[in-house]
Amino acid sequence: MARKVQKKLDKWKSKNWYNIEPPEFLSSSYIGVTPAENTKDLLGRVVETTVGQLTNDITKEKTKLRLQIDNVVGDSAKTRFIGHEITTDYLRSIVKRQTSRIDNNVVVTTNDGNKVRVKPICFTVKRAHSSQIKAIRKVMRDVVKTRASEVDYEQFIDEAISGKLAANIYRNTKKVYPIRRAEIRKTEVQAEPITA
Amino acid sequence: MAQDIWGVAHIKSSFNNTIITVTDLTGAETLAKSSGGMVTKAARDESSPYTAMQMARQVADMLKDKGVQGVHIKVRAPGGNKHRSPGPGAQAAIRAFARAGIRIGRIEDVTPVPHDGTRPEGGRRV
Repeated sequence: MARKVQKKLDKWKSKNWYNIEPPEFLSSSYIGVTPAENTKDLLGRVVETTVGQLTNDITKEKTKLRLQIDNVVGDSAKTRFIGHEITTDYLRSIVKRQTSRIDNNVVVTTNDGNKVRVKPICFTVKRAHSSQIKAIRKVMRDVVKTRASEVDYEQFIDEAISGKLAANIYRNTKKVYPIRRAEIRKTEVQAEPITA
Repeated sequence: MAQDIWGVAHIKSSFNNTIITVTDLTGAETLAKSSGGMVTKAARDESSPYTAMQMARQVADMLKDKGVQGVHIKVRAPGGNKHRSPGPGAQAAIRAFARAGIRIGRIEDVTPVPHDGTRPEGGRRV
């Protein structure tokens, strides 16, 4: 038994700490550290962090980012963005009775060839008719699609997680029916250009 | 090596047991773990707040040995087609962490909620 404990401790000591670095366009340099015996083990690990933590903006704690380690240089592990999601408790707090919750699911290609699945969501002030809901859904899809075709991948992701895209959706959907809230609930990066 | 190491404390709290697993930020490396049965002998006490407190204290000691300053907390209940509110141990464990000098970051509920799944076990369904 005692020998077993000893062995475990040695293994822990043989591990090195690696700094996790977010992708450059997120304008932050440090997320945290992760231990590993050799660098091969690091690849494919997924870190969850919030926009609030990266930007020191407490109001954005509700947006979770998922970053995957894809390259290790020295003792720093470079990550790539694989998606974001708003927290369940925040989503629960904005769902209300007697109002419509309108989800949509759009796969877009940014103008530099990245394929991203975007899930916008709208909340109306009062319960809407299904024709209005359909119209809002259509507007959401169009806004996301046109914005994606205008900007490159990094700009698009930045707008999606910072809320600019949601504000854009809000401005356009409120012409159809009064909207209480518009958010980008989730994004998933599906494919990157093969040349990169 | 950075000065402030953070981990993630995954606390699964059901009505029958509490399981604490502390991992690094990626969730790939386990730093410390404990469950109700490691502290108490009576099965009925595995989920009690007092047991959770003792577990959290033990885990906090292990974390201090490894130099971990703080943890983000992910609480979950059994979820799925079972009940979705965390059991009695969750709160006690978080509080004990804080009292043991571990810094607490984000606290999040990560109970798996089905978008309608299988039929729940017998009895009256609400």
